[in-house]
Amino acid sequence: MARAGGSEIALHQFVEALASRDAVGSHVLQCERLLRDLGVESKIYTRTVHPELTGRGFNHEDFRPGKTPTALLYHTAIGGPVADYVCARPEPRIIHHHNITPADMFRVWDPNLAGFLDLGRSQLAALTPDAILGLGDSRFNAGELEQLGARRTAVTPILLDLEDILHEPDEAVLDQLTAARRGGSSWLFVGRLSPNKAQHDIITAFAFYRRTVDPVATLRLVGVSSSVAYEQALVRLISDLDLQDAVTLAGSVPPGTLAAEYRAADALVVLSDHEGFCVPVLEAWHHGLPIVAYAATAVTETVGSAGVLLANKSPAVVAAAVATVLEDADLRSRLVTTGRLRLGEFSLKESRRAFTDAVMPVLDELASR
Amino acid sequence: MKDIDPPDVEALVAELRERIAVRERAGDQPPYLDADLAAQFARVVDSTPAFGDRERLVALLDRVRLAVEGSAPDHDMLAVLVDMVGEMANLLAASETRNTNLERRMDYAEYLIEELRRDQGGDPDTLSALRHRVDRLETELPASFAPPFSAAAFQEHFQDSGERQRHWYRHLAAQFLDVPGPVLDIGCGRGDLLVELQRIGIRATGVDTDPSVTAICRERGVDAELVDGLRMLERSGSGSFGGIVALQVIEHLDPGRAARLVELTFSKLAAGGKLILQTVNVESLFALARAFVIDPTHVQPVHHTYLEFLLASAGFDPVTVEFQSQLDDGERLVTPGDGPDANIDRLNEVLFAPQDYTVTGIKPAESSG
Repeated sequence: MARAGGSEIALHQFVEALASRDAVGSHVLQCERLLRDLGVESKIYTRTVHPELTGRGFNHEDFRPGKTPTALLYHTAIGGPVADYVCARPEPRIIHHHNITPADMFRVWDPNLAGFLDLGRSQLAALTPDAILGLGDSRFNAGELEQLGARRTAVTPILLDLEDILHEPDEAVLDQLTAARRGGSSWLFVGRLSPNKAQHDIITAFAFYRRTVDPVATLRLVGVSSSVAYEQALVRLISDLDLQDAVTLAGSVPPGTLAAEYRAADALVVLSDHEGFCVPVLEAWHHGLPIVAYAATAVTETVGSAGVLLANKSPAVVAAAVATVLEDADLRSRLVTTGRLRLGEFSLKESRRAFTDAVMPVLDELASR
Repeated sequence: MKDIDPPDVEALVAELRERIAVRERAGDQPPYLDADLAAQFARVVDSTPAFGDRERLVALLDRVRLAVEGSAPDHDMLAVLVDMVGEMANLLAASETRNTNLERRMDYAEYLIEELRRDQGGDPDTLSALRHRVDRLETELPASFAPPFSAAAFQEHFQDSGERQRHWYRHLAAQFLDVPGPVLDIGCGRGDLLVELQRIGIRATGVDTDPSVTAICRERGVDAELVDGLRMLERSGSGSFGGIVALQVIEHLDPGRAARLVELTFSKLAAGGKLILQTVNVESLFALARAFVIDPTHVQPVHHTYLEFLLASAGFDPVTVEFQSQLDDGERLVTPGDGPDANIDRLNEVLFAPQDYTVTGIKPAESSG
């Protein structure tokens, strides 16, 4: 979209931390590129910049508006001083809500983090009612903004260059993973070890599956730990259920290994209680892996009809659903085909269009005031 | 996109339950498997010791701090909160197991903080006094391990205060002759370095978390404040210091806080400023077996290559490493016979390498972070 009347406008982005290899961090960088392509002046302001991104972000306290009409775009994820800073600024603001994990999910495991999540929620409540526009990665996120009093909202999926996240598998790793299956079926989950991602429910459902369907099945949980206490509890659960030989906590892995994990598995099982979007679903589609997921928060709309969505996640229900997906070749093949088609809906081109359609009319109104 | 027909999960679960019932009747499987597995994780959580009370209180104090440092809140309510945290710190110190009284108070304090965020308006002088009390409270919170002796008594007993040590402080003070601003000494102890800095006319402030040593500093006529070093850095403005020094401090921090310390020093130093960190040399087994383990408040040793990397990652350039505290020949292994012995030399290197090292980093002049 061209700038209306060739008028000048600036939309500067604010985020608590500019992180590398992180969904929100990548989105912010893509936003900057898109805004500049649209002729909008844009810089990133933050409190901390990951060393790999040095030079891409500036300290929020150093922000100085120019003479051009200026608006601020704040990205939510966790509480912090940047939100208070933006809240106190006179410029009109847009909120992009990537969602904030409910603090109660962390209270027992990491009270410090829970405090910052609480803070994030209360800052979001302060920032939203005056915002000129509220963006959500999903209908779920946009709905939260509406409940907080946002007057105008739009759904604009996260700007994700699929080229950046979809890699070819490391063949040597793929061979090792295939050999390690020892003829059993293989469950996979990808995401930080985190209470809201409910790996404990996956392990429990998997235990049920081992005892009732496939005694040699294996489960791999790929992702870095976000809470030492939660990780320790998972290790105890695995040991109490006598699954040490069947469940692997694989940690964080490089892209080629991650691709091999998807290729070597039979199903991606997602039982998260809270997700703002859920990028691994897209990766699973790319690698032709069927998805069984608990229908909660944004997972429901990200998965859509390209996966088996469950209304409850009792161990028996999950085990039965995975068994069906693995035993019913026709269902599996339909899931894989639908997934590949749905992946196209999240292309960077589509997401850029959604962002442009939502944001540019608002900026044009500002510029013409 | 064509939707796929969802599988009939209810029917599948019924089928699976029947399969389970058959196995239960045959004695192959314990009864109530589904419910039993679903409750397994709750048992893991319940049997985990009450981790988190101290962490939760620290988090609470962090949020009180954010409130006092934010835009002027109601200081009467804030004063009540600060009193409550003090009371809770006493309760925590007195209890070894889960304390429901403490938990209820923390719940209430968290509620008050939320109220506080909504209710703005207070006078800056009272807030400044409250801020000072919050700083003090932080140092009074019971540590994970609270030694039954003061830092002053410990240093008096174990630290060399002879001519060699005084020479070292003089040498160190001279490193700050040309820095572009005042010097901050984190973990200043009894103020030995502060005295030398003052002697050569360099403006310097010390911080320490033990009141026994900050009192000694004041008696010696040097400026020292009772506050945690990370806190001091967090509340200081960007570019506030020309030099920052932390001698034998980083080994008292967990890896996260150690990295945060380096990150903060970079932002709080002026361009051209200098950071000097000293700690125990891990490559000297003698130092590890003595200096490191003698102090029970040490958290973990830090290898010089890692610390060098940490400084470089934060943006310091150049970063240099120097080794100190070479052991006297009397401590080293003696070569039998007259000639040199390569094995003895090698053993001396491994066992008796210099006991300490410093890493020095300069914040580049063109850096703005």
